[in-house]
Amino acid sequence: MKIVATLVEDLYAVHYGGEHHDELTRLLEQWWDTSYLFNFYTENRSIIEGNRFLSCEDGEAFVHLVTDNTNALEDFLLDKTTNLSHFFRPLGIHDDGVSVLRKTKGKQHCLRLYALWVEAECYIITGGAIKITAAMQDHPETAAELRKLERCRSYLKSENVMDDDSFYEFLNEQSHE
Amino acid sequence: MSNKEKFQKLVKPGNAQALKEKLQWRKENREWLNHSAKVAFRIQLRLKEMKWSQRQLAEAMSVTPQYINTLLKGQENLSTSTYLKLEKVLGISFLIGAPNQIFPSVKTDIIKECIVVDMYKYDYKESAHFAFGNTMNEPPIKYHNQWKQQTEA
Repeated sequence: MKIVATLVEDLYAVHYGGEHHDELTRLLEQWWDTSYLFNFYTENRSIIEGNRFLSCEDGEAFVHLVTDNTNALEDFLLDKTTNLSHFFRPLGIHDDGVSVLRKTKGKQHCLRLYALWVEAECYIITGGAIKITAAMQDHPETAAELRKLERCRSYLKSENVMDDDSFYEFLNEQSHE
Repeated sequence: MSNKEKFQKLVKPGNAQALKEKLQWRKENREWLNHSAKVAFRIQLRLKEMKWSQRQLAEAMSVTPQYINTLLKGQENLSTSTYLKLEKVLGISFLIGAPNQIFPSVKTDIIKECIVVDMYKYDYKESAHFAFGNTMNEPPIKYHNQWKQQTEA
């Protein structure tokens, strides 16, 4: 597991061992890939079409929805029209504190980027998903994202990343490896 | 120098610049990329209906499986000849951009005339205007139905 810089200042992403890309790049590549969207729609058709929030009557509408929102996310990443702290919000009611490595979510309609908060405008993306169920635990992909958040937090804590200074020191050490 | 400043001097950008360039490229090409995504979805739906593999489609179109793979990812800017080939092989038409997006009952002959030529550049009225002349103020499906009635009469 590595932490890499992204195109946005102070936004980092986890690069898991065995993956070709860091999480931000991997997710964008996934949402750009119509083959992936077709398979996702086929496997989750009843959930997608039954979700009133998504308002997708068929597969083409689903592709349109994901594509549109990926475009909006791309614009945000390129232009960073709002602060990261406005984009990433606490994941749940239990994550509303100001503790280091708090779990957060960045929302663009049904698209999610999950991240750990480090300091005011500093976040680490641990993963993301197309969210089609109300609770993350209700779908295997979002449930896996919860585990990734926890795994990354444990990893960073095990590296003594408990406060701002130790976080940067950890990255400093990592860059020498 | 603060820890953050030290860190920023040491951290390598990784693929950040490449991703930025890709995002900028996608933004500049968004119009056809969005369109290609819809077309790719319809092709996959049709392949599923026909119980065809990507390899079978590649063979039927005399192209490589790699090309089909890129096409189905929605990341290929399709040429007019590719649209025509796809229509012929799959037996469907690609009229996208009109209110209902799909006109499954419209004869391919008509579509060939009016839509396939750089179709993503037109909205449905412009496309229909291209095909049916100055009087076109309604979706082409109405004109298709008129044509169908005349043909059947």
